[in-house]
Amino acid sequence: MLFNSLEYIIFLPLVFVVYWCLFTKLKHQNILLLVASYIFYGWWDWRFLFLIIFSSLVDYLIGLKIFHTQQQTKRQKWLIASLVSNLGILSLFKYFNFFSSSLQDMLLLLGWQVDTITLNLILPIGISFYTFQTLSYTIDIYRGNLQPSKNIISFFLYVSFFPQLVAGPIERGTNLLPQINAPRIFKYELFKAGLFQIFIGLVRKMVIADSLGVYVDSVYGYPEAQNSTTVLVATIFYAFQIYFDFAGYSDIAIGSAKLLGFHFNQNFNLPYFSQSITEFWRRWHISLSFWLRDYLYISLGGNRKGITITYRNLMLTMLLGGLWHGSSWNFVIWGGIHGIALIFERFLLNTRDKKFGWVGCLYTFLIVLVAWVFFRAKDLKSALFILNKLFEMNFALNFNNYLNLIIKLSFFLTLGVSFDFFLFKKKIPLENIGKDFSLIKLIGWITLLILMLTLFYSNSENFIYFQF
Amino acid sequence: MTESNILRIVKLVILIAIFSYLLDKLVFISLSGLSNQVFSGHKVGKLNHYLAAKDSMKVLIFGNSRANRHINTTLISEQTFNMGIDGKGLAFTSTLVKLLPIKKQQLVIVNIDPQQLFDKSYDGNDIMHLAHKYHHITTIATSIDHSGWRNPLHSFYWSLDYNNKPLSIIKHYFLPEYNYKKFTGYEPIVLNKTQMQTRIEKLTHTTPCDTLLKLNPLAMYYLKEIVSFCKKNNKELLVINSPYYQDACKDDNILMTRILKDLNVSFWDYGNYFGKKSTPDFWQDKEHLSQRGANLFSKGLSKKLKSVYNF
Repeated sequence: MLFNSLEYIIFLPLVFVVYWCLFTKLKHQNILLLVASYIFYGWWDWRFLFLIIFSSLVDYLIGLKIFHTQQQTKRQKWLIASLVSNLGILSLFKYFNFFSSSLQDMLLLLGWQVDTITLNLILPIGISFYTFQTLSYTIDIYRGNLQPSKNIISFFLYVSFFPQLVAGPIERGTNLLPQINAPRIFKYELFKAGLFQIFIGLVRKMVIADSLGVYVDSVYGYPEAQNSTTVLVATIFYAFQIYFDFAGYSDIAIGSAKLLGFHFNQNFNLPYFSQSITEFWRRWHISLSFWLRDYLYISLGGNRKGITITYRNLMLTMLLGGLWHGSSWNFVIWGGIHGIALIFERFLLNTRDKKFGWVGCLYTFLIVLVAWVFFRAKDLKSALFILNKLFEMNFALNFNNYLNLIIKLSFFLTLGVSFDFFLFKKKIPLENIGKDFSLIKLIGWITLLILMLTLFYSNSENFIYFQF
Repeated sequence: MTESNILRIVKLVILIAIFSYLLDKLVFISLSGLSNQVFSGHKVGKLNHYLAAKDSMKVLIFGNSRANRHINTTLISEQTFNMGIDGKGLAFTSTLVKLLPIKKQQLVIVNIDPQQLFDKSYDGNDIMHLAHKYHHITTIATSIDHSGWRNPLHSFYWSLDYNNKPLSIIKHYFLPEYNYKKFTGYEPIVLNKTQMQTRIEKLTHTTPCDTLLKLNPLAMYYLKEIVSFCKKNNKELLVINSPYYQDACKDDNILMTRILKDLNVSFWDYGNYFGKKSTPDFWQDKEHLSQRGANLFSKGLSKKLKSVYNF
């Protein structure tokens, strides 16, 4: 089920009413949410429910085993079992063909022609997200930061809670499990904030991101016919398309959770106002970047083992972070560009706490923009072709009959960026903005947002991050 | 949840529904007022122009961009209107044809690309391009209702029918793109320098033929609707397939010829019109003629039309 579908417009209010009005006991509320979450997921393909149930069961049992085992080596073995099980499933569905074809290419370079196996598997939606979520659970228990869930329903709900199931935010057990296990009280302020955030998310996704996508698809779909101007405009539009798409998704997820009395952590904090790549990664897809920091970078040794190892760890984290997005060398290169920028900043400029104002914003945006070319292009060859087009410096004012569309999209973009600029200047997180609204102000805002949706929504099959 | 919270939520939801409903109607009425005075642009203006001109025309041309960009109406007759619109399919065309005056003799030319009848992905969504006339024209409302593309939200928020059209309406209201009184619907493709440079790549790009041709029932349904309307209402129907740059896939042409023969409809297949005389200058890409190519094709079509039909 998609957040921007008619089904969800019926599903969410229905769950809301039954959850708050018909079920008063925590246990019943959690069962209802679990069933609702499985319906939400099964709406896409019910067969993959078995996978998520299997994954939940394995980590539930391993979590208990790690906690109750005293011997360190045995605890380690259970943790490895969790890693192998989770990453094994993820690798099978997501990376098998990639590694298989990469191995084939490598052997071919060495002069050996071999036929490798490829599997024709559908990538289960949300697998990358819930795998990271369950991994963080077992690692936290291993590290002693979390007690395992004693209630199997609570744990299964933690893994599959529908607002965050298919594309995050990747919630930690330390944040979500206590909320699942504690009685929830309806708060009107939280409801207002959630409702407002849902509508902001819908506009960001359906009006801004999906509209931008129309132009981006036309340019990236046929780069041969483009000049530097059209490629540059399309890449800038893509930078905002992916931001408004994913931030919009996160807003709907966080907002939906609020309606049910849950607090999710912020996932996007105005990333294009960052003054360095380091800051960018504190503002972009926060739940993933902090996951990578806490469970990968720190596990590799972080910055505790000298400069060279820190370089290596930064680069490895970003490369694997890139690979997490998809089984393609494009994502690895995307991660690599960010890795190089992080290393550059950390050890040559020592920018950890320095601010560079708008020059920093411009520098960050340019690096991010070049990296997005690899993220969006369909393969490495296309990405290099597009970059070549961009650096041809053929900035002719020729928009291939798309000038009207570009003007329209610039209007939407201005609206979206102006709202973000307002939040940035006022230093108000979007997560809190609706809760202090008066009744009239909230009605006014939502009415306007509904009007924007009716007049300007654009059709799109999916959220970009669903494919990851 | 306490009773007071339930009341607060109910109040909030009802007020949002009332305010958004009222604002929606206000915007809908304003947009309708503006859009009725717009006569340029594909989103709204061309349809208004068609509605104003259709009754007085003797020849009407329908179809997608390959009708719009290929058939020069001035070479056929003064009372010809080209209602081809980019990307539109048979659901759209069939509804437009059904708006023609009953019993008045007219020649209806519909450009149908053979693959349109066998396109697995065709779902008839192009009919929603007419949605902004849902509350104004019964024939359009009936066709849209029958298509099933209108969801319950459309009944509550009428502005949904103007989705993605307001900016175009405002633009064409204040800055019409052309003088519609001199416009007959034909919009040739005039190539710029970059398009000329990339033309060869576009012409050499090959796509494989579909070997498992299966008739799309929806496309067939709308085709039959056109045929039925024309037969009942004194319209002569001619289906054409305008030229392609080297049409390598012939199976769909053969099947389409058979289907139209069964329906007793004239079909002129110009898919390979230029044959060996074709030069890249005639083309924008493999499916679209340049202005030069379109003029040459229109001359040929016009000559044949005048020899066969009386208008």
